[in-house]
Amino acid sequence: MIQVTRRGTEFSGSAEALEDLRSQFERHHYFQLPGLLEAGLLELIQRQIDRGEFRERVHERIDSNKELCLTESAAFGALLFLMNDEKLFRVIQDITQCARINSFEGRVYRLNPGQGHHDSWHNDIGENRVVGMSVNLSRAVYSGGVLQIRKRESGEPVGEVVNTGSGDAIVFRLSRDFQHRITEVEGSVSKTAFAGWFKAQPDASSAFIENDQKRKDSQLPFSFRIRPRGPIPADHLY
Amino acid sequence: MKPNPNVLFKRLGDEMVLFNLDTDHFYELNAPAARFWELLSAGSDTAQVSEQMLDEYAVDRDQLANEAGALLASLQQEGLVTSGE
Repeated sequence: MIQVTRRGTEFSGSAEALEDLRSQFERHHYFQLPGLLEAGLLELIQRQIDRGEFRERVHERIDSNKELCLTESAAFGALLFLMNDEKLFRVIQDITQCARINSFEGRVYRLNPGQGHHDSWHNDIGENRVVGMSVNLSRAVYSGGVLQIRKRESGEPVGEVVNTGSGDAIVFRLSRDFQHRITEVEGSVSKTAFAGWFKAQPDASSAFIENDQKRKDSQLPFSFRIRPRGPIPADHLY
Repeated sequence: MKPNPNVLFKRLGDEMVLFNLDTDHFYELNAPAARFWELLSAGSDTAQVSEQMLDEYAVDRDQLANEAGALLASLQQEGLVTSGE
């Protein structure tokens, strides 16, 4: 129904399908988007990830956690490019009824089995984050690595979701009333995912188009102009 | 010429933004260049793109040919297009 392609986000869902997702999000605080990443595009990204380097990372603001984080890879730039998409923002906003989305910030992480990689309970609130999303980039089906959601006050479990289909995504609620965690991966297959947050600020379009240049270009007579901009300015999105 | 399959692209208003997965670099195209890319990526060859643009823009044939040649050279230099069969 929603697919991220080389040409941008494509949406082919009916009003009823959208309503189903809205209802699921309202009741369970998450919904899944099977095949969010087009298969060919996923393969391109996976090949870039294969060439990349992962480094161990511990997030400072939450309890025990450990993961491997992808550094210096075109896969990261490509995923930021793809997920910072106006059409995707409006569909997610429509389903979740969240505040206006203007950007997506994320990271590619890997959880290896038997290395203590996991995330403990936290809520990701702050820094203009409004909704969470995790896209599975793993080539094979892993075990464990489950997203669990609970009520913060009572600890009552409200949802548990595995996301093992390549290119599939989970979109989940961020709220002070809920917490989520990722369990350790079991067996022999690693989990690789692009995870992050839709955010109210900053505005992603400012990272891709320089408005001053746009003004100058609009005053020129007919001409083709191409402006090399270098790597994706990830710092504009944080 | 045809778009490199490792290039991702999206419209942002009148402009087009391209991202080359081979080089990890991105590019802005102004409105006429965005339209050129859009037509090229839809499967038109460069002659068909030029004819379509002559219909859509107030530009004469010679100027368009010069501009298109320069744009294609830049796109090729940056690895954004490949020679199509």
